[in-house]
Amino acid sequence: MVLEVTAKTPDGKVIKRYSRSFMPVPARFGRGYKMGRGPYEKSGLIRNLSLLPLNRRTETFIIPFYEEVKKGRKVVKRLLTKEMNIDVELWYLPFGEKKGILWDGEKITKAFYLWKKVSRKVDIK
Amino acid sequence: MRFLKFFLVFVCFILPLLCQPVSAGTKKAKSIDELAARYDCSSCKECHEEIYEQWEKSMHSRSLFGTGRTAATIVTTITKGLMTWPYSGVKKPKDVKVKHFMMCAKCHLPQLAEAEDSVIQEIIKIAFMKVRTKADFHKRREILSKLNINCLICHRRNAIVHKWVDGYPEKEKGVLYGTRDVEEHEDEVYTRVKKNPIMGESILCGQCHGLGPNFEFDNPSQCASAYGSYLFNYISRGGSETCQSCHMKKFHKGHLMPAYRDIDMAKAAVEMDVDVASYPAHKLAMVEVKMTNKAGHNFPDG
Ligand code: HEC
Ligand code: HEC
Ligand code: HEC
Ligand code: HEC
Ligand code: HEC
Repeated sequence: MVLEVTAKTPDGKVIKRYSRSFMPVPARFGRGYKMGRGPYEKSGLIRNLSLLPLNRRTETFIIPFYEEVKKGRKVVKRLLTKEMNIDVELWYLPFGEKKGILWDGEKITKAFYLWKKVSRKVDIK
Repeated sequence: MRFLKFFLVFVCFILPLLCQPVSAGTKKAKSIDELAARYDCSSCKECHEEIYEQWEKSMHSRSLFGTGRTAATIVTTITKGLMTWPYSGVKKPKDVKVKHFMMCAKCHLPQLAEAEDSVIQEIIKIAFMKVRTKADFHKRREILSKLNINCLICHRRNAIVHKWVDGYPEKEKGVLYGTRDVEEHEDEVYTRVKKNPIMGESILCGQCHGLGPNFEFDNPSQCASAYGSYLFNYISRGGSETCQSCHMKKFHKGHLMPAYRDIDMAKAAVEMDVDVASYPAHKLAMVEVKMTNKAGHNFPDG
């Protein structure tokens, strides 16, 4: 499960893109801090980054309307836009990335699913 | 005389012991086809057509293939797991025995316990098959799907969890387990259905849907853990629905028992709200995404 937040200018130019993953993180052979690869290696949990049932999870993103640029020896803020379109997408990615194919029981399909999409406008005008 | 006595003892006592039925009154299966024939459920289709068709599309009908990932992971279990571990006794795929593969088959194919090593060797041969064309893809999928979790697993072999309380299915000839008693069931082989007290309970699914590490093995595996998170996160937070109620009844999905690839399940799984705010003085936007998992377990499952 991956949450993707994309901030764009009103004419569609991407300003920022954030991505956060949700999944359980099982330990490799039940020891240490490394995640196991397949079910033959996994034992126990190091972290649980999956969404817990009957629980609300809030993820906060602070997105600048500006970019930071170097001006001589100083870093200054340069305004990019006064209005942004924010796209929030929740992807189900069994392979962990937006690629691959799978058998769905009847046919071969792509192995990534856009589950939810919400768009919002925000401005500082 | 002595010889005769020994001979008689052998014939009367030892021979029957040697030929003891392993399970269901038969010897271990030697091939994929023989094991599949033992768990043949094609007869059910005639009368339970809708259920059969739902099941045929379900993950349970292809538990060695899955979405394709299961077959692929069987290969890596051998090449990246078993063959690399110093004490596994496996140096090459040919060394893999049923006992090695039970760490997967416990849930993906529990009836493998009633098969000889030749069956796992046959499974491995197909799993390792090079897939170059679409035809290869389907051939590999179809052969691997001959063995699966079907009607006879849930309604017979694995229907009972507490065997000292409810009995041993393999000892009851011609009996299926269902939601109620059917004294005269019309099937030719399975002529009776007994009411199973756990048919509608989560524990029926829990035996395969995982608690965490499978400690009973010399080298524990860990795959699904939906049942563990159901008990410790969902029930523990006041949840009260069963696996059957969400996966079979709520959306009338019956034996399809779907998950993320089903639109209705996907909609029911997470609620997502987005709130935006801005802070003009500092030229910042604040985006808050609130997600509520409405399934009965962690999401996704590891
Ligand atoms: C010739 C038709 C026929 C065949 C073949 C058949 N069934 Fe049935 N089955 C029925 C009928 C009819 C009922 C309902 C009986 C009643 O209500 O008295 C039933 C009832 C059941 C029930 C109990 C229903 C419940 O509420 O739990 C189960 C379980 C079941 N069948 C499973 C199977 C399985 C598995 C197979 C294949 C091995 C199979 N049946 C083959 C006709 C058939
Ligand atoms: C405790 C029971 C259990 C054991 C043991 C187990 N699995 Fe699984 N496995 C499941 C269940 C149930 C699912 C499907 C549901 C889920 O992902 O939560 C699954 C899903 C999978 C998937 C993803 C399926 C797909 O097609 O997308 C793969 C791959 C897999 N298992 C491979 C293995 C391998 C290889 C082993 C042995 C090393 C193994 N499993 C051991 C129960 C188990
Ligand atoms: C993964 C486990 C599983 C498999 C595989 C399975 N069943 Fe079931 N079946 C159940 C459960 C659980 C119920 C009870 C659902 C409930 O609580 O009402 C059930 C209920 C039934 C019923 C009675 C309820 C109804 O909908 O009429 C019949 C008949 C039945 N199954 C037949 C079959 C047949 C035929 C197959 C094979 C094609 C099959 N089942 C495969 C788990 C399974
Ligand atoms: C005998 C073991 C076993 C039993 C019993 C069992 N399952 Fe499964 N189930 C599996 C395995 C193995 C898979 C994954 C197959 C694969 O992907 O290779 C699976 C997959 C699933 C999936 C994922 C489907 C998808 O489309 O991704 C769901 C949902 C599911 N089972 C629900 C249930 C429910 C509900 C019950 C109880 C009524 C149940 N299972 C009983 C072994 C079992
Ligand atoms: C409150 C309703 C609810 C209950 C109770 C519930 N589930 Fe689910 N389950 C869902 C929904 C919705 C999804 C779809 C989201 C997803 O794929 O994770 C799902 C997904 C799954 C998946 C796929 C997991 C994945 O990450 O792909 C499996 C396997 C599964 N459930 C098995 C079970 C089992 C076994 C039980 C009982 C121990 C159970 N569920 C109880 C609602 C429920």
